Amino acid sequence: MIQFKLVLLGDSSVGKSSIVTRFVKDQFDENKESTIGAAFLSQTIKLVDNQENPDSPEEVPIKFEIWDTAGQERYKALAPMYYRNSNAAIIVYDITDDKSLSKAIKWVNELKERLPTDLNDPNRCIISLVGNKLDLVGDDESNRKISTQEARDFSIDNGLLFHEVSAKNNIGIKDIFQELGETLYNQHKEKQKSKSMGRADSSKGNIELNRPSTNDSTSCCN
Amino acid sequence: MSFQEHFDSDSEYADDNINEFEVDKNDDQHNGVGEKDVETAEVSQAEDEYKLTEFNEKEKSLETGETHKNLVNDSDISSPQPPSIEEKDTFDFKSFLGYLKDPRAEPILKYTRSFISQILKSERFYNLKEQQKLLEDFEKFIHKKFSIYEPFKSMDDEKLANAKDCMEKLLTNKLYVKLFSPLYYKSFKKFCTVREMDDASFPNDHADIIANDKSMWEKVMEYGGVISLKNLETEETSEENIILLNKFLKVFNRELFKMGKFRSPRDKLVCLLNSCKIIFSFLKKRQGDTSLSADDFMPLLIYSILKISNNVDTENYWLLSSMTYIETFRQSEFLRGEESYYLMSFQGALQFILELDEDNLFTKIKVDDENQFKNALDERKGYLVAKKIEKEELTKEELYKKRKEQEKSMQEQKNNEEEGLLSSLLSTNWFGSKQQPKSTASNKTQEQKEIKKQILDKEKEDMESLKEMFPQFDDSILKDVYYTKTKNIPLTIESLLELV
Repeated sequence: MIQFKLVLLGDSSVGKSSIVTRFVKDQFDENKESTIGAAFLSQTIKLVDNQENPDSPEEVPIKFEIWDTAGQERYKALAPMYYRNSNAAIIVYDITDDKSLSKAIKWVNELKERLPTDLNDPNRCIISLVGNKLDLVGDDESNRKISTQEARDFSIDNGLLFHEVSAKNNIGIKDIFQELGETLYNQHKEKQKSKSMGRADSSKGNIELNRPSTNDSTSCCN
Repeated sequence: MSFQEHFDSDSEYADDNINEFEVDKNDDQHNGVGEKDVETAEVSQAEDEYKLTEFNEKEKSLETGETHKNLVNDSDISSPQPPSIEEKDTFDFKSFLGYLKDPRAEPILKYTRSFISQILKSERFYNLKEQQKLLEDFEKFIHKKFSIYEPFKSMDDEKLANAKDCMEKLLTNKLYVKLFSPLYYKSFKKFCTVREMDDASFPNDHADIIANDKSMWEKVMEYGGVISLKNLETEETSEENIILLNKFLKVFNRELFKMGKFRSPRDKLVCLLNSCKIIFSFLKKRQGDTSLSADDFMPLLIYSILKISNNVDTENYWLLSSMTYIETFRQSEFLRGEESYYLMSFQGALQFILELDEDNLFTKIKVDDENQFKNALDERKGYLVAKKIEKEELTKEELYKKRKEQEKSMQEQKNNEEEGLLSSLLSTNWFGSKQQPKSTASNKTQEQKEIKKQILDKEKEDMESLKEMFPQFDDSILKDVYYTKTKNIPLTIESLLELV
């Protein structure tokens, strides 16, 4: 199975962990693979690939390995250890906190500086910017401190995926991962294709992709 | 061995460390009785008929002599799993040694022996990168040979993966003194003394790790005495919960300390994962299962490491060396997502502690009254200096006497075989034909008694910790769960949490 490493960044108050908890718990999953604790979670989703053969679409499972990071400012210096070799990042902010978007933007800039994020880079890390706590806004837009427009414009300018969600009411959570999964899968296929055509750079591919699946029954963590 | 002793002989830390491993092999009964026997079998010459027979005998005698034999299930007795994190762990070192003894696998055994003895004999001091490459290359080579020679040739994927995993354990066990930085340094020093050279250079990367480890330990001693949970920005923790936390930390410490008792990266890693599990167990008990995350885990991990200083007075944890060792010598195909995550978190926590200093202190920790904190820190440092001076006042003679006595008592405890093991491990002619001294019948019985006693002591210690952590449960319930979980403490705690 193809697997992707996904790192989770954001301030401690924005509810980044509840987004993942919501995502992982709502999916049907017979083998829970997380054996130690909730800071590392993994989840498999199914994609439908009908590009090759539109008449008989193929179901492709992909697995996310989700690396949570401590959101407190004082642990920020440890983040590079976690996002190294990430295939994707979810950067979370709180739409009811006017300072939180600027903090998220700092993360975006840091990742762009230190990971391959160029659109043409076959190994690029795909970033999804996520505004949480949509439930607090509801019909009353006065609670909202970050406009959708502002965050969306920033995302478009920087080549990020973008969602506004509510982890509490389970709005939009699945879409974040579905979209990330599709983007990652397409990128992966592109890469395989160019490899087989012999014009891929032979530098080390993505290590995460080459690792055997954790489903392997010989894993000591099963 | 007293912790005092450890502390006293700072300059000869590696020496103590060696002793520690020696002793630890004796008392390491934490996860099923098979453990010691396997260590015995694996460190001894794998092809040595005598040893393996004895190994089986010992196992049998333990089986019948075990007090709670009805409660201990088969896997406890027969599977040699060192620490295990899951109940259905498939790791099986004992059968691997059996396969290796198969006459058809002789070439594999020969290659392995020759590789090990070459490295042990080598007078070159390789750096970490070179060692990693050497081991990786050999592993790659021997994995290919697995597909040529029976019984490995016809193994299914699962068994083959086990064989690869076990081969790593065999190699690292045998080469431990050459790979684990603190011990490597010790053998380097020995080499220099023998050759009467003083300008030989010890590989920089290994030296740096040892230096960092020592400096990290100093930070743990200094800052660990004064840093509170609040300083690390964790969720508000009540007085009552802190008392509870201290009880969990005792177990955390024990799990972590075990890491030094194992030689293979796999076994060390399992100890590390178990200690992480203990932290999560506390978090679950404190705030329920909901929304636990790295925000909770990371500060508590740092705190738990800092508080090692409360419970132990020894720098021989060698935490940084162990992390590097695991990272370097665990084959990447076995280092999966979750394991890398927690290994990395540990490295992050250690890095955080290592970087604590007075200039950056208040950017790294949250303090209401900076002066008050500084005063407390100065006081702590003063206390540590006073303690150090006090120790230095012990004359060399006293130290010497103490050590002699200790050696004597250790000698008595130990059986000949264990000695043979260590010397065979340290000597370069490890595969030489010298027969190890055989144990006599009387000290075999003695040994069995020892093992039984150690098992009982360990069980007693575990039960006491459990009682402290879960006072609401009856002793018999705790005992039942403990035995059902094959005396695996992290798993026991997990099940008890579900009952709460």
